[in-house]
Formats: sequence, C-alpha cells, structure tokens
Amino acid sequence: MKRVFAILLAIIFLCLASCACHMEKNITVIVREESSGTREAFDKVISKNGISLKGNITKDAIIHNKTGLVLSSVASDENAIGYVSIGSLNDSVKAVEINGIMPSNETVLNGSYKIQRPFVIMSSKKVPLTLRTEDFLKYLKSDLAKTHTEASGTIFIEDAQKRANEGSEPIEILTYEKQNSLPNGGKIVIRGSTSMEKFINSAIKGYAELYDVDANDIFDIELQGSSIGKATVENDMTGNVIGLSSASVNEKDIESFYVCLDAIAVIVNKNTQITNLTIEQLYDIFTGKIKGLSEIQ
Amino acid sequence: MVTKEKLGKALFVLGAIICIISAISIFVFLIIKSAPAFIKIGVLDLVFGDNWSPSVSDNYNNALKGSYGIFTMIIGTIVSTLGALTIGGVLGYFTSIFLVFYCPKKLKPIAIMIINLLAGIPSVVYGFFGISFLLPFLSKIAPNNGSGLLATSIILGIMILPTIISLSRVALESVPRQYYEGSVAIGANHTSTVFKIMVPSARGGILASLVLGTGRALGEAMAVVMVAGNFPTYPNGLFGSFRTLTANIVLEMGYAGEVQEGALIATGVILLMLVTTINIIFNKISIGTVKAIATTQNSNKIKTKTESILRKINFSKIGEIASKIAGITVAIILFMIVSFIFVKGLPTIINHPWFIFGKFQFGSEEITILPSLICTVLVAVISLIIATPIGIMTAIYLNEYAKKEGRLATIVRGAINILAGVPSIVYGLFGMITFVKIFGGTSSILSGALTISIILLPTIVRSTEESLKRVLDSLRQGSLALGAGKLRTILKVIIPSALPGILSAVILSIGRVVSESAPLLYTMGSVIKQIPSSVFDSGATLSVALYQLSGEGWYINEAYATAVVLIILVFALNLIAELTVKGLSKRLKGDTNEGKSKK
Amino acid sequence: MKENQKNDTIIAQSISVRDASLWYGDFQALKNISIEIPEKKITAFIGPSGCGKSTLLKCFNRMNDLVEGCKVTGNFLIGDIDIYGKVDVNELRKNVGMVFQKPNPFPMSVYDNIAYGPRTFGIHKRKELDIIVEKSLRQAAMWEELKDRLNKSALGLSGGQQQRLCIARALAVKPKILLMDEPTSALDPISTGKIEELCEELKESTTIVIVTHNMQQATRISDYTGFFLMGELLEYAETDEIFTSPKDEKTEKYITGRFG
Repeated sequence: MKRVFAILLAIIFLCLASCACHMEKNITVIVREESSGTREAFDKVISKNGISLKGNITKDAIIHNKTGLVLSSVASDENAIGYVSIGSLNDSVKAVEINGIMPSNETVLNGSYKIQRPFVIMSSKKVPLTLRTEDFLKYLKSDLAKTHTEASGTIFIEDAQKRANEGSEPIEILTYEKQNSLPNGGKIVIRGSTSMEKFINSAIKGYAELYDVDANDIFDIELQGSSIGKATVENDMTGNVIGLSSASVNEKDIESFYVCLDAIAVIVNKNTQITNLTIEQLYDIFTGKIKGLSEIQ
Repeated sequence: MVTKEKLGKALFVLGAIICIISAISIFVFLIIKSAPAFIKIGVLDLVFGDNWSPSVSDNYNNALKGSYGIFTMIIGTIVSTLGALTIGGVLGYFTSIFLVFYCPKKLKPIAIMIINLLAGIPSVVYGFFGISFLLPFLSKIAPNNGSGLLATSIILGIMILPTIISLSRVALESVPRQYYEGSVAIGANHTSTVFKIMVPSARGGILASLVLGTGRALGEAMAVVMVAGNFPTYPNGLFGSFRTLTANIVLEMGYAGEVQEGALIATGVILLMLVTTINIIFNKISIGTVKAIATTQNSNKIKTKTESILRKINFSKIGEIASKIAGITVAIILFMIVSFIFVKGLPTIINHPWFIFGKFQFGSEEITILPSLICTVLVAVISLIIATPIGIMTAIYLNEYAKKEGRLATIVRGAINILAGVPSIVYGLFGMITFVKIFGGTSSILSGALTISIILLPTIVRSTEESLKRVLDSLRQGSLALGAGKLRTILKVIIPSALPGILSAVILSIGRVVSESAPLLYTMGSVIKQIPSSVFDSGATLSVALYQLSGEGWYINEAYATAVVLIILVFALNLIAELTVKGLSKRLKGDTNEGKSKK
Repeated sequence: MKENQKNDTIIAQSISVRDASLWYGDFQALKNISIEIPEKKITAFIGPSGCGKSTLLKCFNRMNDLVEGCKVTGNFLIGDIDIYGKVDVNELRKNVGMVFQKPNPFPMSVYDNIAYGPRTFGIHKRKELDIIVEKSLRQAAMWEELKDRLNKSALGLSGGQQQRLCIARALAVKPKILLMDEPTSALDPISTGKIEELCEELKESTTIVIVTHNMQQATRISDYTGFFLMGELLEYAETDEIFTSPKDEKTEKYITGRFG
C-alpha cells in the first residue's frame, strides 16, 4: 500500500510540473448553464455566417449557474470573458463595446446594441385574476412603475407596439390611479426569471410603499427561472400568480406584455486592454477558435 | 400487560418498517419518474451517449430536439472521485497514523475535535473556499482559471479527509496493544513496529474508511459545482472544464424542461446505482479482507531482485516522515479554510449588526440572515420530531427484539445501509418528486424537513443501536429477573442507560441539518426572503442562503459572513454534543457506581 | 531515531540489580531491590498480584519505558553494562527476549511471525530466513507440528501453540536472556508441560527469568526463586532452599497457601 501511494504522489508531482511548463494562458470562456435564459439570448445573437453559437461552444468553457459566479470568476481571472445581464453588472469587472457600441439605454432601445432580450410579465388567461393582482398588473404597466424601477437599471419600453406580443393590441403606458385602499385578494405569488430580480424587487417596494403596507404581507416571491414562472402561471387556480420571463412568451393560456429590455453585457477582467469586440470575434472566442488574448489585439 | 407488550413491539416494528419503506420508495419513485426519459431517450443513448445539450421545450409527446447523453459525466464523476481518493486517501491515511502514533499526547484531543469540525463544515463552504481561494491560486500554474479535475479532486479530497481520518484512527486504535509490545520486545523500534505490525493489522478498517470516503466523494454536489467548470465533456488533463453527475442535477434542475427533468432524475438514478455498487463491493471486500488477514499467504512469494532493491529504501522511515508531514498539512489546510473565511466574513458581522438581527426588506441592500436562521431552526425541529422517534424505535427493534440473523432484521439493516449511502442530492430529487408534489407543487419548509428527516434516519438508528449495544446484558437480565416486562425493561432501564449516546446523535443530526444544502435546494426553496409564517411557506436555510449569496455576486461579503456564522454554529453543536455525552455519562456512572467506589 | 554514538554491546548473560526503585507516578512499585541473576539458569519470581515481580521483569528489557510516568532509579547491569545507560534500547530488547502472559502472535503467517525479528535486523535473504525459521521452530519443539502450516495464519493456532510460537519468535533473534511473564497462566496443563520442557532445554544456552503464580511450576523448573511482596524482594535463594526451609515467615505462609 505504501509503495502504491509513493508512486501516485510521484505522478501527481510530475503532472504538476508539466503543467507549470506551458505557461501560455488560454482565454477562460465562462458561460451560463444550458437552460439559462441569458445563455439562450446570448447564443441566439452571437453567430457567424448564419451559424449560431448554440451547440458549438468550446469544450474548455466553464459553466456557472449563477450570475454572481460568472462575475466573481471574471473578476479574479485576467484571461476570462463572460456575460451577464446589464442589471447585474458591477465595478468588479469591465463591460466591452460590441461592434463599437457600449450597452446603454439608448443603444438598447434603438437596437444598435445587438445582444438584448425582453423582460416579460405573465398572468393567466384561464382564471379570473383577483382584484389585487389585477391592480398590481395595472401598476406594472403604468408610468409609476417606470419611475420606481428606473434606479434598478432597467430599460423601460415606451413604444406601445413593442410592449405587446406580435399581432396583439398595443399596450400604452397609462397613469396609475391609486385606489382608496389596497384591493382585496390573497398574497400575490411571483415566480420566474432570476434576471428580473432587481426590477421586480424595486417594483414591489414601490407598490407597497404606495399603500403603506409591508411588502412581505402582500407578496410571495421566489425566483428560480423563467420556465418555472411559466409553469406556475399555467397552473394558476386562484388568479393570484404573476410570472416573469426573460425570453419571449407565446403560450396560448398566458397573457403577457413586454415591460422592459435587457442588454447582456460582455464582461472581461478590469486589467485587460480589450475594450471592443465584434460579434464575429465573440463567436470565435466562444467556439474556441481564438484561444489567446493576444490574437484579439 | 400482554397487550401492552404487544403494542410496544408493534410500535418498534413499525419504526423498522418505515425505514424499509423509505429506502424502497427512493428507488421506486426515482425509477418511475425517470422511466419515461429512459424510454424516450433510450437507455443506451442516455447512459453511453456523450453529448448533453438539452432543449427546454422537449416533451414526451414530440420528437426530441436536444440530446441527453450523460456518459461524459459518469466518467467525470469516477475520475474526480479517484482523484479525491488519491489526495484525501493519502493525506488521511498518513494523518490517522500521525494522530495515533506520533501526535503529542496533549495535542491529540484537540486535533480530534478539529477533525470533527472539519466534518461538520457545510459543503457549500468548501466550494466557496474553492472558488475564492483555491482557483485563483491554481490559476498561476494552470492554462485556464484553475478549475477542472485538480481543483475538484483537491476540494473533494479535503472533504473526505474527516471520514477517512476518523475511521482509520478507530481502526488503528483498536489493534491490540499486545502486538505493539510483542514487536517492541523483539527489538523493533517504534516506527518499524507501526508500519510493519500496527498498520497492516488495521488494513480492514482503513479500507472501510476509504470506501466510505469514496461514497461521499461520489455524491458530493454543491462544492463540485463551484470548481469543476461544468462543461459536459470528458475530463481532459488536470485542468479543463468537466461535469459530474451531481453537478448536472444542481445546475439544471432549477429550470428544466419536461424531458430534461426526466433525464436529470435519470442522472440521479445512475448516481444512486454507482454508490450502491460501491457499497455492495465494499461489503464483499470487507468480508474478504477479514479472511485474507486470517490466512496470509505472501511468504511463499518468490522475491524478485526489484523487491530486494525496494527493501533497501526504508519505507517505514518514509512513512514516519510522511505521517508527520500529513499531520501538519491537514492542520494547515484547516487553518487556511477557517482563517480565510473568518478574515473575510467577520468585518461584515461586526460592522453591520442588521446582518444577523435585521428585518427583511424587499430590494434592500441590507441583507439579513435572520429569516434563514429561523428557517434552519424550524427545519431542524420538524425533521428531528419526525426522525428521532422512528430512528430510536427502529434501533430498539434491531437490538432488543430482532433475532441477529432474522430476515426482517437483515432487511432493515440493508435498508439503513442503503439510506446511509444515498447522496444528498438524490434525496433532494426524491423530496422534489414526492413531498413537494404532495404539498401542492411548491417547495415548502415541511417538504424540506421531511426530506431531511429521511437523511437523518440512518445516523440516528446507527448511533442509538451502538449505545443500546453498550448497555450491559446483566442490566437487562437484572430487570427481567425482577419480573419487569420486556417493554418496561426497555423504557426504564435500557433507554436511560443509552441516553447519552442517543442525545449526542440527535445533536450531531442538528449539525447535519445545518450543513446540508443539496437536498433542500429543490424541496424547500432557495430564495432569501421574509421570516416564514407557516411550515407551508418556502424559505432558505443558512447553507442554502450561503449558496445563494455566493452566487448573486452583489453580496459576496455577506456570503463570507454567513459562512462564519455556519462554522461557529457547527462548532458549537459539536462542542455541546461532546459535553452532553461527557456530562451525562459521568452522572449516570456516578449514580450507579456509588457502591463500587466505597470499596 | 536517536542512535547513541558509542553503544555498549551486551555480551554477558547474567543480570545484577543494585538498589533499584521504580515509581508509577506517585506510586512506588519497587523498593530498593538488589538481586543477582546467574547466567544459564532459570530464575523464578513469585509473589501475590501487584507485588512488583512483573514490573521488575519488565525493567530488564526496559518495556517499562512504554508506561507513562514511570521512573526508575538504581543500577541494572547485564554483565557490567548498565542497561539504562549508553545502550540502544532496541539492541537491548533484541538480546533480552520476552514472552508475554497472553500469547500475542502477529496477524501474519507462522513463517512471517518468526521472520519478523530477523527481518527487523536486516536479514532478508530467503535462504537465511528459512534456516532461522526452521531452527527456531525446532528449538521450540514445534517444527514437526508446523512445518506444513508455515503459510497459514498464526491466529489459527491453539493457545498453547501460539505461546510456543511466541517463544520461537523470541528465539529467532538469538536472545541471550529470555524473560517470561506468566507464560503458562492462560494454558492447559499439557501445553504448560510442553513449555516447561522447553525451558529446561533452553537453559543450556540462555538465561531465563520467569514470573509465575504457580508454586509447583517454580519448584519444577527453576534453579533460583525470588519471593516478592509489596514491591520488596523478601527472600531470594536456591529454589530447593526457599521451598524446604524458607527464612521468612511470610514466604512460608505464601508458599504453603496460607497467605492473605
């Protein structure tokens, strides 16, 4: 047994030594997990010669199922590249220009920043909604929600046509009329995309303050992903469920509207020189064709 | 009287039967739930396919758009477990030798307590340590950011250390002292006695510790997911993204499509089979080693020249040095983990008093863990209320009623062994497809507590049975000879004598509740929110909150602080357990030994 | 290991103890003992339990070193070498073999048990070991019994066989002195007889010191007998003399079975 151990130890040290020799660093490609809405949106946009990224991501990629893990991995690794929802961006990392354009409210709204996706609010078509849920939906569609959520970095859609699903009636931004007292109905159940957490939290806070109640008493919120949001709305029996999706929604039993747009920011370590990347370069990096940072500059 | 006796026995048998049902239903439910996926994807394509790219919109009625092969992950799991075994096995093996034969006497109890603490640290904390300390460190020699096989093996290796050290230590300590004396009396020195006589005599127990370590490494989920890289491909060298079976479940269960969910449960089934196979092989081996020790046959081997050369190297001497190095290494590792987390986390706790006692507010930057603390307490209380009576009843049945080789007892023991080996993430899957479904499809504290209570069962049954075994037969006979019934003997004489052991099992179970996260993620909820108003609310325990906080990116300091709270909590529980056992057994002995001490 | 630079080598076979005392912590187990043990004779130590006879025996190969808090004063000489002086303790134990009360064969084959000692001292050649094993087993009068079972586990032997194997194991390193700590107390009369016979043969070449509770055994095999009580050596003389005309009243009481 001792001899086996000795040999194994020797092998480990040899391996370590051999690894230390080729010091040339590869780019660390960091992506989200397969079923993430952020990844879906990113993969759809990043393409080259009509071939999208989906299914072609390099095998060296690191997969994280949390925005925070993507951020901290990029922050601690000079060779890393990843992407996060713009709402989650913080100063531990650096966002880069895509085709020369920085993600911002204007560039997203006018469509010049390509990597973007809608945030969708869903409710059931099958059951009548409670008064309270109905009222909260009205609030979400209103100008008040816009002002309340601006601080969270969301890009509110103002074009009534764009707020509706294709082929549906346009949805205008109306002025919210505060009721005399909080409308009746049980707790409003909110389920869905984790990317929308900041947006929905500030909306909830604003709504609760409006009626001077504790948000905890009228909301039950748990965000675990867009598909769970969809499923919960579909199974809604009491009319008090609101779903959040970070991808477009076409289910027939679901009433939906596009509340805001989200840019997906491509992030790199603060210490790198990279400031601008093209979609093609991104494709090559994420498929593993470009291996070193030097190939970009 | 007779009916009372019968009722008592029936109750104890009931406990045993619940254990059997639990073990069976885990297999049955997982297989039923994954069967459609196995059929739709094809057993061979699922198990031996090496392309995993699921499509959320896939369902059982339409043609598949994604592919669902998990072979890369099976290989990933096996290889990383082997890596963990190399690192943790070697280190643990030598550390246990160090502890038993080379550790200064005064240091030993402290060292043992610290190793128990190492066992109690939640896996999330290890993962967190991995991502914030180990990966940046490894990235200096790695072509990538450090994640991959080496990082996973190191973290898993550290995690299985306590299991290996504790069990090997017990095995080494139970080698008869006469062997030592016999060898020393011939003139062999300490070191060669240790390595030529003591260690070989304990190899059965050491092997057992390695197998248990393997089981833990196979089933570990939360730490692995943070350092493996997770790309569904074969492990390629020491560095390079790869995925394990457990990571697959943790990563994708959150928002899986219909077929995907089935395939993930199937992943759990495969994992369960791997672990069960290992356990069965181990049972075969352990019987084998006992025989092998009884009939050694290596003296007839023809000694080759290489062996005589090897003999010139003084392996005992190397072993001695290795043991000392291992002991110091383990101390350094533990010191690094704990101090790293404390240095990063303590300032937050000190500067932000609301962190522990604040009121939860939506959208507030002032994160508080008070609701998580309350959730943790709730889950601990409920799961213990369920698991403790069932566990104790089962143990009483096994020790007091069952015939040693009886059929029911064998089945119960088998069930307990199976339950003990099931990886926590598989428990999570089971809870998700049973309790969560029963309670209306949303995760709740009750579902989480029910899931955890099954996890606690084997520990409680085993420790209780151990303490029951230690109750002297003369006590039983004494009580029966006075005409007391069996039930009365059990309730009035046997259980009180076994109480310290039972209590310590219960306290250590609380530690388990505190540190588990994988089984709660999809049964109890993972969102940090307000204090729950009923057991049907969802909520996050401290460990789950740590996983959540470390993942969000905005609250990294709060994550460190949560880790600090967790470590302190686990440490306190360990301490309480130890003190309870010492205090109680002293009192029990003091009362019963009064007559003796007069002599 | 701390190897002393100039170790004294043990060549003599007689033991002389001068004014020796021993403490286990605060408890004094041996009180000012002086005794001369002649070479190539069998010396028996008798006395009630806890009288210190085993303790004294364990001083001769320094097994007491293993006991925590044990302190020894006085002189223990083998020939003219102080065994608590500049002596390598492992070398000492090689030369002063010991057989324990309970047979303690290692969990190895019969062959490996006996070869363990020689291997420890650097003999690895198969042929040499074969010779030593056979010789030791013949000395212990069990070669015929065991020659076909050399590769079987020693744990499968009977108690008497195990104890004789332990003697053979001790003999394999050619000790000059053999200490036996109640070697037959766990054995049946037939096995006991065999071991006593063995002792008679061994004293041709080896000094034997045996601790025993069995008066008959002492009279049967020993040349000298020492009677111990409460950590003191009350009487020490030729065996015949002690058992026929004891000088001390307590000795007489003890050997006639009228003690305490």
